[in-house]
Amino acid sequence: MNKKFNINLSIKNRLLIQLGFVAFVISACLFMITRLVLSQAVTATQDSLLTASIQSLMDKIYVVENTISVDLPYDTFSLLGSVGEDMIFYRIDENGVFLTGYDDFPMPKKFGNIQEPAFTNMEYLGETLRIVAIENIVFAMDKQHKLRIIIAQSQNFQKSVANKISANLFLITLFFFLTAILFAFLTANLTIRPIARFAQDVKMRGPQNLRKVSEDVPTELKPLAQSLNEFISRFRSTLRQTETFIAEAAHHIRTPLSVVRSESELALRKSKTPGNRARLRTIIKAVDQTNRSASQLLDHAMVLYRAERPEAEAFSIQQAVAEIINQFRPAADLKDLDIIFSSDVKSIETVYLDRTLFDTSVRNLLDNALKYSLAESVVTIDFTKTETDFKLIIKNHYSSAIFLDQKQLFKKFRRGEQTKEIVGSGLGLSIVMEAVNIIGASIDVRKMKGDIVCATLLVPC
Amino acid sequence: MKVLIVEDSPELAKSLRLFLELENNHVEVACDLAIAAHYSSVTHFDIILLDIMLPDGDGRDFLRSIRSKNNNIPVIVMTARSEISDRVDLLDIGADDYIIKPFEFVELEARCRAVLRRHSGQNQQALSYGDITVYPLSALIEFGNHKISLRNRELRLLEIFCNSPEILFSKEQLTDRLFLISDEVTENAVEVYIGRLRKKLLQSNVTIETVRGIGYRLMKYE
Repeated sequence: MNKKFNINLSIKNRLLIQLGFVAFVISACLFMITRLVLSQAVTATQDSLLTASIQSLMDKIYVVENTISVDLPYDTFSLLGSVGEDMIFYRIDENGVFLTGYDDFPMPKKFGNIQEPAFTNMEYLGETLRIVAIENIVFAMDKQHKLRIIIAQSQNFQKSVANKISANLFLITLFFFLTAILFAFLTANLTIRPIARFAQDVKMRGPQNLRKVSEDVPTELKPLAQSLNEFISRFRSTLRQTETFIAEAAHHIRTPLSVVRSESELALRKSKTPGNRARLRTIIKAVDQTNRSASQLLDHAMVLYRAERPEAEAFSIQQAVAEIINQFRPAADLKDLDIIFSSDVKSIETVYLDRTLFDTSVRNLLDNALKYSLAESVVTIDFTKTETDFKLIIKNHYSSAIFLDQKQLFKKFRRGEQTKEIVGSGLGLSIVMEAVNIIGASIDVRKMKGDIVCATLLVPC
Repeated sequence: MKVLIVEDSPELAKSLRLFLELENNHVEVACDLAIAAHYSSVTHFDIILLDIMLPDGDGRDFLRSIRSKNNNIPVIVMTARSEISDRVDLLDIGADDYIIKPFEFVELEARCRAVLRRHSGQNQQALSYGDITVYPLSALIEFGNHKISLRNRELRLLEIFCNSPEILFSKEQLTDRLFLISDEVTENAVEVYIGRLRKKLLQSNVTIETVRGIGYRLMKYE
């Protein structure tokens, strides 16, 4: 089974990783190649010294009275050995017979001549040695004498030089790598900038902003910008069509309902038969119930929609509360209810939250308070500010016949006992609960002494 | 009160007209914006009841054009849309209030009254009968040196009687016009308000008479 790894990296990070990797590979290669060249240079230097020393040794081989004589160049050996305290070994063989030097020194496989000495590396006494070996023919006593001369030098100095230069080289390579990373970062930023600007342009838009995005973007992004603009255009058109459809649907449903209601109401006013009057009242209540349910379901759908995308805005909370209360006053007048509104909030207090959800919560609470209040009673509304919250307390007198079940209050389509005659859908408080949860507020509804219901809405400052 | 109803549904417009005329208002109906614009340019109305979706355009455009001419005539929008954003938009463009269809006549009446009360000082119409004068917008009755305030239902009841003095109203008729359909109305609810009004009118020369088995009427003493 293939396991998919979903590594969610930004384009910038991807670019950084890729450029960083390339910089690392280049730096590593550069380091290795330079180190190799350096090593070759050091070896070439050592080879030159060994060549010079073997030539010096060759110069000290004489044929005196038909005898081969070697005058060992100790000064040269001493010079070679003094550099980095290297060890020097030599061996001279004549016609395959050991002549002088280190007799256990192994013979290399290849010998050069004075013009082109042979170089090789070899392990001896735990040291890696650089060896120069030549083979030379010397005539003495009318005979050919094959001389094999080997000079070996340990590589301490070369190693030390190579290590020092390698360390410097490593620092230079590291600097190069870090500089490359910095440039990679700048390049990634520069490359990503038009994309970031484009993304910011889209991100900073409010949910209602359906203007086209700017197409002043790099060529590679143009198809995306164009597609996005086409999508926005289609979305705007669909939204307009949907809005028009909803408006027309509401118009086409509610206008005939209005006709049914108004005709029924007029008929009720003219009707004198108790039976007919009861039937007309039933029709009107059914229309009201239908209308109320439709409105509450629409409100509920709106709250659910906004749960995903709350549209926060700054507004004056006490002004919003006052406006809502004023809009309810005519409805309160119909039941001779007195709305007494008091507030200790003097200055303009601005909150930043979804106003529609806040309005929906307060409206539903007020609507409930008015609907279940006893006629000619008082609905008191207190708006105060604490250290952490704005507190809206709505108190109303209700009929003692209504049973208030605290557990069922906020459940959908649940209504209190003895409320069947009051038009309602049982959605109001559940809408309030959902709306306040989204805006980070809290709601409490409880029964108090004297058949008073007290709803407390706490909105964080 | 002169009312202009801008509504494209002839049935609803007719019902509204009948209802408002029952309350002694003078009503004109415009079924589209062109007619509404014509009516409002040639006649002064006390209030406009404006539908939004009309055959020749959007009622909101009509409202905007009224407000752009600095005409502050009270306008109540009758809308089928209940979304809060729509309601806020309506108030922002200059509607004095809105009412969502379908609505109860008494609620429309209450909203008209509230809007007119806000605009009061312009057209405070009074109703008179006998020595009493009723000021509906300020919910007051005046007779002799007395000035008595009325609660909403008392005012509505007195308005019904003052609009048709000496006419008999059955208990059912009064109940229909006084209470919301959704109100739980007891048998003696109307009697309670009649009783209260009688007390308030005690020192005037008018009273509400009970005609046993038929209803009530407003009469004045000779």
